[in-house]
Amino acid sequence: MKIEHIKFTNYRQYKDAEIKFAYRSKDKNFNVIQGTNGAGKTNLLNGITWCLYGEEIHPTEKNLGYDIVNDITINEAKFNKPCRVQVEIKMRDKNDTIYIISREAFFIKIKKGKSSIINCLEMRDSQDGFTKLLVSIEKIIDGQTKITNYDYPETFIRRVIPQSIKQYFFFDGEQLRSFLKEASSEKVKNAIFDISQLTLIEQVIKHLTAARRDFEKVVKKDIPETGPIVEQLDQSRRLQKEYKEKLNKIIHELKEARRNKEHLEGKIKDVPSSTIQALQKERKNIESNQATLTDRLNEIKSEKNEYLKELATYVLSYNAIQKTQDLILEKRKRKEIPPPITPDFIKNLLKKGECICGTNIKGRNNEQRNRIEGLLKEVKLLPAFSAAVLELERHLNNCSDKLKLFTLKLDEYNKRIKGLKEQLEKNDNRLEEIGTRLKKSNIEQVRLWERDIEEYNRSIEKSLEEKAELNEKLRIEKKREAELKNEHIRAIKKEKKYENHLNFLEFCQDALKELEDIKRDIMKEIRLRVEGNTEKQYLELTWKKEKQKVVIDEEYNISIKDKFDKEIIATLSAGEKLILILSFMAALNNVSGFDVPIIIDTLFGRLDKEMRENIANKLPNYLRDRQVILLALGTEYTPEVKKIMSKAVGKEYRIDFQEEKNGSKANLIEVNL
Amino acid sequence: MKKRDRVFIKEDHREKYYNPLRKEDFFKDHAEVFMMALLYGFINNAKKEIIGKKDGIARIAYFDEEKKHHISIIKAIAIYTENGDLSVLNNEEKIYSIAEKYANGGITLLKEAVLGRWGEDYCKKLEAMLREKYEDLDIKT
Repeated sequence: MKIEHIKFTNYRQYKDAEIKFAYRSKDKNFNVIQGTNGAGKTNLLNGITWCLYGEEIHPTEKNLGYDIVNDITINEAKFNKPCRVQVEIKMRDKNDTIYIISREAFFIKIKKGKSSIINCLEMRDSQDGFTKLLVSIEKIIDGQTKITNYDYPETFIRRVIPQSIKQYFFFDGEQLRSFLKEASSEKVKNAIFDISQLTLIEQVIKHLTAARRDFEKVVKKDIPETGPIVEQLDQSRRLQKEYKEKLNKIIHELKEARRNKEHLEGKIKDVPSSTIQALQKERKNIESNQATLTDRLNEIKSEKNEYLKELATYVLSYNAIQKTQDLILEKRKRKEIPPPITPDFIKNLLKKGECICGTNIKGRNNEQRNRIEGLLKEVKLLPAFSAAVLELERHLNNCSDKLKLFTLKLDEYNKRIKGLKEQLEKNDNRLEEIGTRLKKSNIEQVRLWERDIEEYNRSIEKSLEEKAELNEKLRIEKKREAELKNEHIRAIKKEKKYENHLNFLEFCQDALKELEDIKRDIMKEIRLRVEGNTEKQYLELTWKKEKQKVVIDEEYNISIKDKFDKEIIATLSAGEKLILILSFMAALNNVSGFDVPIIIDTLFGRLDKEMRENIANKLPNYLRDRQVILLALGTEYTPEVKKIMSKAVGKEYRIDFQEEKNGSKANLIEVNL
Repeated sequence: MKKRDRVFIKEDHREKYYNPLRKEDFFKDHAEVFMMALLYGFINNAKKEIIGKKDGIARIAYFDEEKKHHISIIKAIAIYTENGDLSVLNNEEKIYSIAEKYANGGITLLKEAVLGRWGEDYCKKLEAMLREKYEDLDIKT
């Protein structure tokens, strides 16, 4: 969908304003609207969301407590005469079908003593009592324009651009920056959940869970012996809920502690002392390295365990392997395997009608022929058996070969594990040394910060232990629940007359499991697609030549790793972080499947010149297939930025804000390109 | 004759042994537990008939033949048990029946080894046991 045109009537400073957008060309897909602070850029975005959803997405300080009706209109309005506020958006889809979306509201000025109050009028057929949304389609049929109205306009909006995901299409630079600052895994997970549109599945899960719970009560009443099992099931579910709540609390505390620790480390890094800065930098590198080493250690331990399991099979069954190999070798020596005569050879002789010794074996009553036919039946069995034996030999030889390297490989694993543990210990010791040196620093503030960091480290360690413990308890409890459910079903199965009960319960359990699996699979797929897309966009936009990787892990933590697999997100500059989050937003858009314009308010704010120009250079390429509307300050959209982006900009406007005697208004003036 | 599609254990062994052993992260699935139980039964010569109701614990398709050669090992053990009679390869029912008896006899030994002493790492125990047994095997490298 592309926005062709927006019309404002008495909406905030836009008393009577219209704006036409570039939408046809893929190369000239950018629309820039410039304005000073307070001119009305954000209210353009607010107008769009008000039209679509009946609410303003970005209330600004100036707007708080003000009604949306333009103040000139209200001041000039007669008492008790309604004033209409309307925002109309004309959109066009891929098939050139035009949709006109409009929302209106009516306000009335009422005299109250010496002053007046403004009320919003209630409306019939209104979606929320006060505003009315209309969606109509304009089609050309036989040369004539035909307009039809949608009976359920909210359904259309939900289908085209659901409210739950609007923040990934309409956003401002400030929100982008704060998203990254607080890019908690919870936020990332919610973003992916919203894009995955799983609300419907969640609702079904909720209803099914309630139905199952009610049904279990019915079963408990009809089959009293299932009572204790149901009680245990309830207890297990309560415990799981309790563990999950505690886990969320600990995860939140962990994040807080890490953030606070990072903040203090940042302060230490900025202390004007080269020694202290060097120590802090070293500490940061070691900590990052520790995480990588720990992952590597766990990986190798896991590999070793798998290897042990595999080789245990061969070591413990070696007598059987060796015996079988010896038997097969014997058969080979006796030339029983592979068989010297194959069925095909005998069939050919019979077809030819002549034995290899030259004897005639034609004719049905030929005695020699009958003997050879009897031999054919016997030989047919042998190849199948031989093939099975040869196949077995192949596998067992493979086992023997692997056995030869057993101690060598095991020693190698142990050596690698030992090496990693030593490196980890060495790093831990060095971290402790650095901590001690900083605690003894001659700068008092550094000593205090270091003591706090130590406290946070202790708290983080404790939280990690508690988290691991709770995860384990949750895992055990989930397994217990699964076993109890099976026990429950077995108890009901005992009585044939409760077959219907059983069918319903089994249906609930199977359906819930399927739905949870579907939800998990969809989230995983979307997460991986968003990860891949984010990485692609990010690497295209950044100017660094070194290989980097964007990771969104299973707990929805977003990170960047360098070619050594080291976490480097904390070392990114403000511009690089902005690019990362912009890439993430673009990835969400791409993966969502919704074809909606992207509107960004004040993207370049607070970036330095170089960063701004670099993003301006790459942005058109990376949002090539989208209609983009940029709302920018004059200080962001500098002549240099304008020149760089010129090949992608289809339309440019300037907001002309005027203060008049009775209020203010803004017009949109098109700039010649 | 219907082709075998799964291996069986004594009905109450699932709750008593297989599920607790699966709780340990060491075993990926019931097929792995069965395999290890069978090996413990084999090395301790603990073959035990399954009496009473049976439970189909794992599909034969879940055994890893291509990488870990599980089925070939099961066949080799059957041949060994039948005093080197290769013709047992024609009798699938017998092959798996022998495997089930060893698993039935070995499962208690496996549980004791894995879950026996609290806090002791099974992987370390297993490594020590395998190294010791390996020493006794005459394997030319």
